[in-house]
Amino acid sequence: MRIFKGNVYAVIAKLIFVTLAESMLGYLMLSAFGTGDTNIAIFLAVCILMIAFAYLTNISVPLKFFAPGIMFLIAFVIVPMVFTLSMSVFKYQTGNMLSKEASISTIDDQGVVPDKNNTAYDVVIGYYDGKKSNIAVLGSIEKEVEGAAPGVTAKFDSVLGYLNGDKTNLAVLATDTWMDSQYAYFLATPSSFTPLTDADVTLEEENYTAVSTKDFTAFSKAEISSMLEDIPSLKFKYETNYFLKLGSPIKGMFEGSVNQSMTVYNYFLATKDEYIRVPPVDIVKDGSGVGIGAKNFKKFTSEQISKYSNEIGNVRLTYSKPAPYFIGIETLPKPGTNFGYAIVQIKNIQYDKKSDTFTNVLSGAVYTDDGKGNYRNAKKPKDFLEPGWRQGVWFDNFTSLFNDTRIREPLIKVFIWTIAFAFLTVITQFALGLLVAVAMDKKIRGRGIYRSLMILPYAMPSIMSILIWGGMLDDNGAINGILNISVPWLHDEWLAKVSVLLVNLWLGFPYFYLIASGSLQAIPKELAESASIDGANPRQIFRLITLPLLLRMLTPLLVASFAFNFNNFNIIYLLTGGGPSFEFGSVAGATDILISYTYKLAFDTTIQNYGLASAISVVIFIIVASMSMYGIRKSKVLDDFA
Amino acid sequence: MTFFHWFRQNSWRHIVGLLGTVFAIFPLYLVVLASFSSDQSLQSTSFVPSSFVLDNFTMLFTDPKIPFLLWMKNSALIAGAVSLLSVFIGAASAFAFSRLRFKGKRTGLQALLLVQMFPSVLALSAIYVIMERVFVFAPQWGLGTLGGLVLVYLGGSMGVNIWLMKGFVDSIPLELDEAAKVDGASAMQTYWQIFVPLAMPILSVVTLLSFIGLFNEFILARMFLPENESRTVAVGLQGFIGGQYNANWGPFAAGSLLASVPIIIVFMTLQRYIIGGLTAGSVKG
Amino acid sequence: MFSMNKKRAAMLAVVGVALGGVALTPAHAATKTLTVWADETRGPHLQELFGAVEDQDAGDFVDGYVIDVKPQADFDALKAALDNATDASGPDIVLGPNDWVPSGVKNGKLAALTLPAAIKADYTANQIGDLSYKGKLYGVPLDVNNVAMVRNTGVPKPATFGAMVDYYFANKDSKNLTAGLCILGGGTEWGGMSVYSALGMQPYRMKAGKVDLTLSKPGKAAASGDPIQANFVNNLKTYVLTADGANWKSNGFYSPWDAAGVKCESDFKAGKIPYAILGNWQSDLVATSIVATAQPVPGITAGTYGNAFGSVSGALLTSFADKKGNLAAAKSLLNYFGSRAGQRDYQKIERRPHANAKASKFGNSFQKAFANAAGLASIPQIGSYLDGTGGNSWWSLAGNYWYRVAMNGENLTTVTANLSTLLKANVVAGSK
Repeated sequence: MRIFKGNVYAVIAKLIFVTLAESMLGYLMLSAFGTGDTNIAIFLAVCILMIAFAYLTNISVPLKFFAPGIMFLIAFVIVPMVFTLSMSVFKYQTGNMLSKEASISTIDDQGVVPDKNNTAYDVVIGYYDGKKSNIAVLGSIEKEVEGAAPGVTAKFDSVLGYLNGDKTNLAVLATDTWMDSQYAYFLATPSSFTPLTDADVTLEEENYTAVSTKDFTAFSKAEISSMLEDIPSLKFKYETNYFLKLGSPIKGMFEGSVNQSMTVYNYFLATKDEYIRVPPVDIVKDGSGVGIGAKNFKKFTSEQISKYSNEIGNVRLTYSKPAPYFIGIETLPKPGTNFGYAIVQIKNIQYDKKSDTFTNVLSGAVYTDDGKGNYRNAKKPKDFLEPGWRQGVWFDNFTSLFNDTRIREPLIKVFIWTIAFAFLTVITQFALGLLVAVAMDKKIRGRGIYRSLMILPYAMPSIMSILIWGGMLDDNGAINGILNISVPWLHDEWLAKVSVLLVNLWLGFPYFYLIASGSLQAIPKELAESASIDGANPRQIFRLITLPLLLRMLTPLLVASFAFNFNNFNIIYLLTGGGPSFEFGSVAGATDILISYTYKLAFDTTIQNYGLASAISVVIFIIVASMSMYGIRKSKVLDDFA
Repeated sequence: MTFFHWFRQNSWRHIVGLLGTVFAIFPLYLVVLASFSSDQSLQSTSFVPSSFVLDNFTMLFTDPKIPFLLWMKNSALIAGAVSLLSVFIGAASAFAFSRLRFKGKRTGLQALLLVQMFPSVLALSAIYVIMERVFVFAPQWGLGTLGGLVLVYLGGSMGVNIWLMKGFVDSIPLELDEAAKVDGASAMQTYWQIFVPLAMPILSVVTLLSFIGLFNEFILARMFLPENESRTVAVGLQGFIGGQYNANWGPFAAGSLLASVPIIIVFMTLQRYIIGGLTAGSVKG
Repeated sequence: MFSMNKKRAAMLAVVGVALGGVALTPAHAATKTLTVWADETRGPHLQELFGAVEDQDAGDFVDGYVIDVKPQADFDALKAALDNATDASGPDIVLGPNDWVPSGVKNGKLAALTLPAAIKADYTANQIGDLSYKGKLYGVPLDVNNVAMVRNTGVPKPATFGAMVDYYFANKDSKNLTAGLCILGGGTEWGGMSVYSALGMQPYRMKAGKVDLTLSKPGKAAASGDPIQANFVNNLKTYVLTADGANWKSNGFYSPWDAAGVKCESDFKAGKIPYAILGNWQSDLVATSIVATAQPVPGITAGTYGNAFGSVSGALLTSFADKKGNLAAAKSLLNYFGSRAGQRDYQKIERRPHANAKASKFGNSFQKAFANAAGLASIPQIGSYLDGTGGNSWWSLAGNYWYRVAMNGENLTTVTANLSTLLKANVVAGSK
């Protein structure tokens, strides 16, 4: 025997291991503290202490064996389990997924609307007064102005009239008496411009001005005097950007002058504190007159944009109208341009911490905590703010399992099927496994080959075999194809149940075959021999001696298998997805077992109900646990530890 | 022995054996058929192969969008690391539960069993959130990393493995460690120097079984490792037939075949031990 | 054996090393990243568009940012990941169908944005509406999912549903037809909706851009908003069912899913099925000349059509973008997605027609054919009316209905009345 005490190498090895583990955990712990994940950091600190306590002292020997296992169990099994348990007393579903704090902050963040006119600007994003934190935007507000067209001196003697006898179809017949322009005569309407020649017009003798042309009728004096107020605002089309305006009438003739409409810009700088109208002299403009730089304002470089993108996206800049209006920067400058996009917004939903209410400052509606996980307008109960939060509801989820027929009825069906499924699975798997084991319990020729082939389903990764079965049982799958039939294996309520059982039998019988054949060998042969001497035939021996012995030996495994299949999520989820659904599209389907139903309730439907799903989980847990505990008590597995 | 005699004695055994074998290998045969077929479906209408092409296999190794070898590597790495570590960690606990005397042992065992029975699908959300936080301070161990998934699996497999191995440990005779105790060995020393060498075959079996089990995990892996290059083979292959619009059974079958063969070979080679291992826990009950 | 003192020293060493970890705090990356989550088909296309993260210059698409596209394993996985994501790992932008918008907003996963008027004007009011919830816009329309009916080579253009049925029975034996109309893309519930619609059943009806809520009272004459119109049962009997004792069964014309003897894809390709519903993402499935025949399913009378779902998928802005400090950057990328240039770039890779109508002149003939069909007859896909707030979703009702009346031989009147009640309940529940 080796000398155990004082094995220095073992101690050194241990110390190295422990040191490594401790330093790694220590590093993680500090990082966790650093990012504010205090809960995880504390857990890691406890782990560090536990390891030190377990391996550097001799106070608790069992802990030396348990420490790592316990850590993993707590982190990834117990904590999530407690989380699930606690969810069951919350209204925790689509619409109520967040904590109340997160819900308030999201409502607050989202409580912004564009102003009524959708005012928006292309802006240069930068900073004011040399301080990068003082984010500002330079905006250019376009304005159309009209005025005499510079450099155009032509004036026209114009007759105001109408076309085609329609008095609303205004037109001007104009003559260039001074020969300043290239057009001797033209006819202009608000939307068209037609040059005319001598041949087109009739001239008035005295001044050689055109007075009529085809389709054109001049207004009479009386008509003109009734129109006098409107005439200054009339515009008639001239060349491209220009238009003709009429002056005062002299002897029924107007003086027409060429005008132009122009785009000019007003410039503003908006910072967090002020809205400044900047005179054009202080602006650097691009070719079209849009401002790209201003006094005291510096544009952010690409690198700075990236660095401050968060601040840029969230800044509220002053607008010409006071709060709740502000200017928000919607997008960063488009690559290759100077301009981002900013819009005028209103902070319409505002939170008051003291009274825990939200107010819509535009409509005046007040939203208060309705005790059910939402802020609701007490005057209009249908009007509430989203998202809501997880609200504690005590046992409402549990009572709804019993009281709400829409939940109760499918649940009962699913529950019954779950029991049936687990029970029938164990029975069929065990029966077939046992049959094969008994058949193979003799050295017949080819036993090795039979065995190797028959345990293939057990060796093959089940996820793949389940999916393959799914493909084979499909309406146009191999089974229907080969047998040349059209059986809806997975789409009929009862056939789907049979299919699930069949596939599960395929998956599980080799396991029971292996177990049973092992156990058969463990049964003393003398028992059978002596019975045989007593005149019992092989069948009687099997029924009266072998089977009871076998059952006694295998009960714990049968119970374990039952418990496993009770929660056998993979086969249901991957084979039928729980379907076909009961009566037109309820969440629960004919092959759903409790756990797949729970999964669908929580994850697979549009209206996800974690609260209800976790209440069902708790119920499943209680059932499975008590069944297993009963089974184990009965089989006395735990007796050695009494 | 005449043939007739032999038949009467053994014929039913052969019939059971034959039927069982057909039942067991029928789907597997179809997989092989589909994997060599040019038809992208499992619609075969006969047992006779209609075509024999290797397209499905070459696709797995040449299509840049199907990093099959990476998937295999990921699965092997994850399942390998977890099964080894979980047996390493779990065996110690199993040993302690089996051999040491301490307060709260029965409660501990019962608690372990109960925890095992908790329907854990819903814990998904909690685990996701935890690992997401871990990602923030330790990006190499959090969500989306193989390391992170290994941690989660380790936690999940702890209970089963401890429970399973306890059964095995119970079946190892007590005399040896009694002797060691007499020699003044500490519990740790007994564990490392007596128990571990003795239990090595059984530990290997548990490792293998847990490897296969992990190979099958799908729900967590799908959510944890969304990126194409980091997927496990189960998730990657499921993509062929679980996609929105198409079911490519050919490459799926080929991939399944390639993924299963190594496992089946190991399983067959260690058959004897596995059967021993499976029954050891039960027979003693 | 170590003495207690040595043990203490060892412990100190351990603690020392543990504290040493502080020095090794991870450094932060210099370039910022925008994360986009997408499904298994669009994701790789986007990756192709943006290029690998390593190869991007920060600022190619958004100033100072690189774009990291993460395709998820499949749609369910994408949804599950989004449901579970929090600020720590959530994406800045997620590509999803329009019906994710309401639940995304209710759960605080999505954030609103305002599109520049110039970009917004490129989209129809319906498309913008599809991605809006309670008056706010949560994403940019990216591509359109729809189906259209195509006909096989040599099959005449049908004016009415009846003409197709007549063609089928006239040529059934001579041309060895296995069915008249089958579904290549979109499945019974989504693609097949247009067939139901041609015969008089729809999950909801539209009126002036909104769901028509005028429903009949039980036992009263059908109203304009009724999912099942009065002539539906008769149309079924006339065109797609045949009497089977007291009940009815399929007359063989319509094959919503593959069954023994009818395999849509191979039979259609072999010319054994004259008409099929094709999805717009299936451009490589059939010949170009067949694609060119894309049209809506003809209705009972000439000039009427069955509506197909025309759902728009969007690039949706998440609330995580704000939490991660990427709000403006994410909106900038969305503006790129929505712009004509962005749509054009994306459409070079993605097969589905782009949502931006103004960019459509760049589409190929395939995309145009489907856009035309959608223009003739489609209804928006509105999640709240389809997903069954009361527990009866259209997705599980539609296929099940056909199974029950045409294959399982259940009483047509009873089952239809049942369906009518459930669909009406959906309309009522959806409007709340």
